[in-house]
Amino acid sequence: MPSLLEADDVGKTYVTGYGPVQAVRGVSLAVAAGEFVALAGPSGCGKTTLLAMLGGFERPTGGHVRLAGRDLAQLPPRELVRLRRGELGFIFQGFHLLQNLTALENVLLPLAMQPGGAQGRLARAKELLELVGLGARGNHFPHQMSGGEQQRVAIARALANAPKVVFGDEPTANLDQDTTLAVLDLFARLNRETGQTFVVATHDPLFADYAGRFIRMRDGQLVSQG
Amino acid sequence: MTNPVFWRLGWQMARRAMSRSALAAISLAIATLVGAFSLTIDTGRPGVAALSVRRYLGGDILVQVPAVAAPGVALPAGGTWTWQPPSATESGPLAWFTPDLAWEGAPTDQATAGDVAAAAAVLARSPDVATASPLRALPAMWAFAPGRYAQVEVVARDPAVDAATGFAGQSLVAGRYFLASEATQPVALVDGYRPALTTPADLQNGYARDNGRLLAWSLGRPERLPAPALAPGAEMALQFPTWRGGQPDWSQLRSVGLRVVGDYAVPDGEWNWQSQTLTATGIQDLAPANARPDQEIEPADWSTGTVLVPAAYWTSLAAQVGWKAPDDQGTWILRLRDGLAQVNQVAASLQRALPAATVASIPDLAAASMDARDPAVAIPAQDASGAERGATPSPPPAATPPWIGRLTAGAGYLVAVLLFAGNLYVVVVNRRREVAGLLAAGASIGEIAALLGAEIGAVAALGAACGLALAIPILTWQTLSNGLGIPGLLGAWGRLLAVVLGGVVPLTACALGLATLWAARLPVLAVLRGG
Repeated sequence: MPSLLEADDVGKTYVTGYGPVQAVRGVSLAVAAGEFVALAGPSGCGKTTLLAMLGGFERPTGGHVRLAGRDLAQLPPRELVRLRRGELGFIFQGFHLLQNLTALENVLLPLAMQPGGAQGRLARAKELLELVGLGARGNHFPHQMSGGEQQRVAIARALANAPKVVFGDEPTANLDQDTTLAVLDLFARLNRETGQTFVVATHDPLFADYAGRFIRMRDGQLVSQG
Repeated sequence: MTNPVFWRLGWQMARRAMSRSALAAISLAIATLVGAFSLTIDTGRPGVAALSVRRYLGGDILVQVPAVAAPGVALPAGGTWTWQPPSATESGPLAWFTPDLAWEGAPTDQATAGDVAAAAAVLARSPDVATASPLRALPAMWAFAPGRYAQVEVVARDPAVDAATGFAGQSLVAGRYFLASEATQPVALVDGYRPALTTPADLQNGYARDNGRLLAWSLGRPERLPAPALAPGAEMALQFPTWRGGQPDWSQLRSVGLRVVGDYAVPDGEWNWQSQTLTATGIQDLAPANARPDQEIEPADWSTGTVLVPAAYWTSLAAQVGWKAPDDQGTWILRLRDGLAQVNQVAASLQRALPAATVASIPDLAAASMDARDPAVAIPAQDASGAERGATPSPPPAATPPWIGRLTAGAGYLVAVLLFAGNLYVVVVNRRREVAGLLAAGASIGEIAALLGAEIGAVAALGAACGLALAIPILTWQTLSNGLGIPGLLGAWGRLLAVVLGGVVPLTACALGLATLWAARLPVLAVLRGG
């Protein structure tokens, strides 16, 4: 199967007041369309930095990252914006919903950045909330919802524009075990049903039972690609 | 084209996060209020909003006119003046008043900035002088008449003395005073000055040609004397030293005024006037026919001539206004004597008299200034009743130096701006994670700017509206209670609005620009991870 996302000898070095720090070193990785990949490792091993480069937020200081054959470092800012809008979705540990918008409005937001009619957007947002099991909570504000519910809204928001790749950065770190299992079930189901690609950075060993591939990192390098 | 969703979203966020936005809005309201007041104090122009503060601070009012077109006319000796304050009508014979004020030095023409500053320092030491500042004059000197002259702006504690220090500081003063026969001190109604400045040394070296007995003096040094200055109607002053023990005392100068009544041609390179020459060439000296009895004018043979008032309209204005000016830049200082009700009338008279000028009177401020500083206002009424005849007027309250007003204004405005900027900073930084989340979701910087712009704009508009809501009633009350009527009110509102918009719009634009720059540099993932 051809790779959707490729990292080719990717490295990232930060220059700090104490000298250069190599956060990621010589990582090569290929993710096929429809895969569910977990990037695991202890804190500070470079997972988030690698994720940032794969998602086009950071430019590697060495190597290349390609999405569907396009080198992300070579894309102009406008193209990167278009990419994040249509082809990439992000889920974060802290949910990062807009607190002044309802769940439905939060899901509508990325849809509003795309062309289309208001009715179609609304239907799509409601459909996504149904998909994550929150069809009845659309008019609730984030502060009226539990952590697990907020994360499910964030997942619905990430899926809104049917991205090719959904990135997750410790998406279950703030959740209890039951909620974590529910979210993992949701990821697995979505991956299975929608065929979307998931790349999730985590230190939670539970992902090993759900992800198709469990990649371990240490000191900025890949140590296994199970 | 920015996605309109972000405008709506920004407005929605401002509305729903009102507790956060409210602080910024309140601070902007304060900023608006303080800014409006500060600017009016600082510039002296928008006026009424600053009345209370201005009254506290005191000070003079400057009115700029682009051109001065006052025809010179002579009043006959023995004429009368009339002053009609609200309580009584005063009149008396016209008289000439020669201030007897020591002066140690003033800038020469072509003085350096250092000379001007030094002269200002000398003048400032006079007990009657509130401030003597070269600062305001210097830019004008460089901009309009480089090298020709310098001047020191002298503000006296007492307007009557102010006129006298005008003599000292500006040297060539065609002083015109009305002396009430029963008054205990002269009431200075009008005095003017010419821009040339001199020092005792100049007089001594350049013009003491008659054994120190008599000095003639007019615009600048003789070789640079502009011929039009000696056309009929031109005015000048003569200065001479006080005579002590048969010797001139150059530290004590006296002045008398002159008006050219006939044609006069400047002799080539000559400026060695003697009394006979003056008479022969048609210049009459104007020594005081109606001088105060206790005044000693030396030498005695100069005590002939007539009293001058330069323009007919000054006579009518004199009942209400004393002024010192115009200078070459057409700056007039107006001082209202009879309360605010007459201000518009005075301004209208000025406008009629000077059709080429833009008369922007600041009557309320002038009145505030006079209330605080002009003891002469009360003199005629006291004399009319006779109750205070012969009494020495109590010293006027010390005027607050103008720099305090400017400093207060600047500090007030700065504090207001910092308040607004600080609270806006909190609003924007609180959006840090939201903005990072939106960027991660694919929002462009332009869309983030629209979102922040809508929120900042909403807060700014709310704050400005609150500030105006506070300022307008005060302004309205002050304007109407000071008798300025609906036209004055509309003008005051317009000025306030201009000040507020002139402050709020650039401030908001700056805030938005900075917020957008900040958003563009946001490390999205680090922020979303809690960094």
